[in-house]
Amino acid sequence: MGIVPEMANAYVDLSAWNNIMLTGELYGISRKDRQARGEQLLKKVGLYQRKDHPVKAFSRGMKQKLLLCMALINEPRILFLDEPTSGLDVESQRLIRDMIRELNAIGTTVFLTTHNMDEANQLCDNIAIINHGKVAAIDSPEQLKSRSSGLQSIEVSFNKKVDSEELRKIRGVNEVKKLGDKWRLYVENPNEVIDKLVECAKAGKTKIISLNTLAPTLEDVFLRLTQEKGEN
Amino acid sequence: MMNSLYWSQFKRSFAIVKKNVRIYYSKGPVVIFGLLVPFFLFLSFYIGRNLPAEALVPGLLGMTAFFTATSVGPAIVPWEARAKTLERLISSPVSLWAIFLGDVLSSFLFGVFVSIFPIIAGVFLGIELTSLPVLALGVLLATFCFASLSILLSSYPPADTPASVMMISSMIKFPLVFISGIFIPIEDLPVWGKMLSSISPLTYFTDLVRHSMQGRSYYPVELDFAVLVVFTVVFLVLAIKIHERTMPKRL
Repeated sequence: MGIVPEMANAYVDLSAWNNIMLTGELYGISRKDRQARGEQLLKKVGLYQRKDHPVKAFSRGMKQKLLLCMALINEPRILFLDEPTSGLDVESQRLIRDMIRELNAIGTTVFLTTHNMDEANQLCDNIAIINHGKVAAIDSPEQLKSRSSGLQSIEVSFNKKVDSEELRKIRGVNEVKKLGDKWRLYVENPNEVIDKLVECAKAGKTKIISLNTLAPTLEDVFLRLTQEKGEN
Repeated sequence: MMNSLYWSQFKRSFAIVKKNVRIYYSKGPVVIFGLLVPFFLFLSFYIGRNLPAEALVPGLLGMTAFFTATSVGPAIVPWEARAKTLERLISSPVSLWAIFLGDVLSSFLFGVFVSIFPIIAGVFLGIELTSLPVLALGVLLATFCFASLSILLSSYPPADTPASVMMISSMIKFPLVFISGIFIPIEDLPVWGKMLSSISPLTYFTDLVRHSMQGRSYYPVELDFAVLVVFTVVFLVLAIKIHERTMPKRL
């Protein structure tokens, strides 16, 4: 088992190398194996050149990469990651996500705790949404999205100002939100609403500049589920 | 099977020792502080009193071993609880006893290392050692005993602020020095003083050192060793048991 906690808890007074070797020793890995694996992991995350530097001089991204190396030194079959990319630069985020995918591909079971819905959507086969310490839903990302009827939406923009009340009056529209120069309409049946939307635009002598149908995001599903449970 | 399990845990204790030495004990200020505190306490006692080296060095050695072996130990657990590195240790396959044994061993090694200096000073001052084996065994056993005490000192309350633990440990350590026959030989103490001194492990170590340097001791040497062994076992077992109980409150 390997663990990457949210808060960087490597020994800041030790070098990256000594941190990895200590973890290897605590897991009972032989000197030869831990040295070979430590070198391989540090090279993979791009920290090998800095291996003898004390961790206190590392940036958050470097610390996170080091924590991942420490968690992987014993080649765990199960890996727990708590907000592994939170607050990291784009490059580090991508590297860590790629490593997670690679590990999963070779058979490592990865438990990922995250508030980043996009990350969960990209990385997870199954997602458990936890609300107030209880599992509100557990399923694959696409299944979760398809279960959430009424969260499909249409994003539309017009060539001139439109009153939100006019859009709300369209049958089948559950909710209307203004997003910059666009409107997002939450609907049950997008096809039905699009026809009515075109009719409405014609009647108001308004031109539609762009129109897109959007599947519900995991964020929408999360909000819906947590709000429902909160109301209950 | 059982033996190999204990051995693998014991090896992990040495990983903890290496970590502690690198982080806590190899720092210049720690080593210097370990030498300076007993040295200045010793000077405050020595200056103005015309005492032979044989009467003084046992006290200096006793204080050095005691203060150095208990100097860093009490701060390690609260320090690591605060830095969340304790979480890392206990989430790895290492028994709690192996973690604390590692902490005790590192305090012990530091105490033994620094204790060599007053012994060398004593030799330079012309002290003749009447029993080197008693001195060597005494230093090893007593330092291990004091190192165990240092881990016990951080066991309760389960604080994560090293300063508060160090304050509590100072409140226990300094009185022990004054009742342990370091400044006044045990035979010169009143009856209540002798009774009080018998509850301090430092008393028995100072007595052993006096035996090895002056050829005489207040208690029989065998009793000094036996009491130190008992203190060591009690401190170590209590430290591990209390830490096991308080550990959830630290996380």
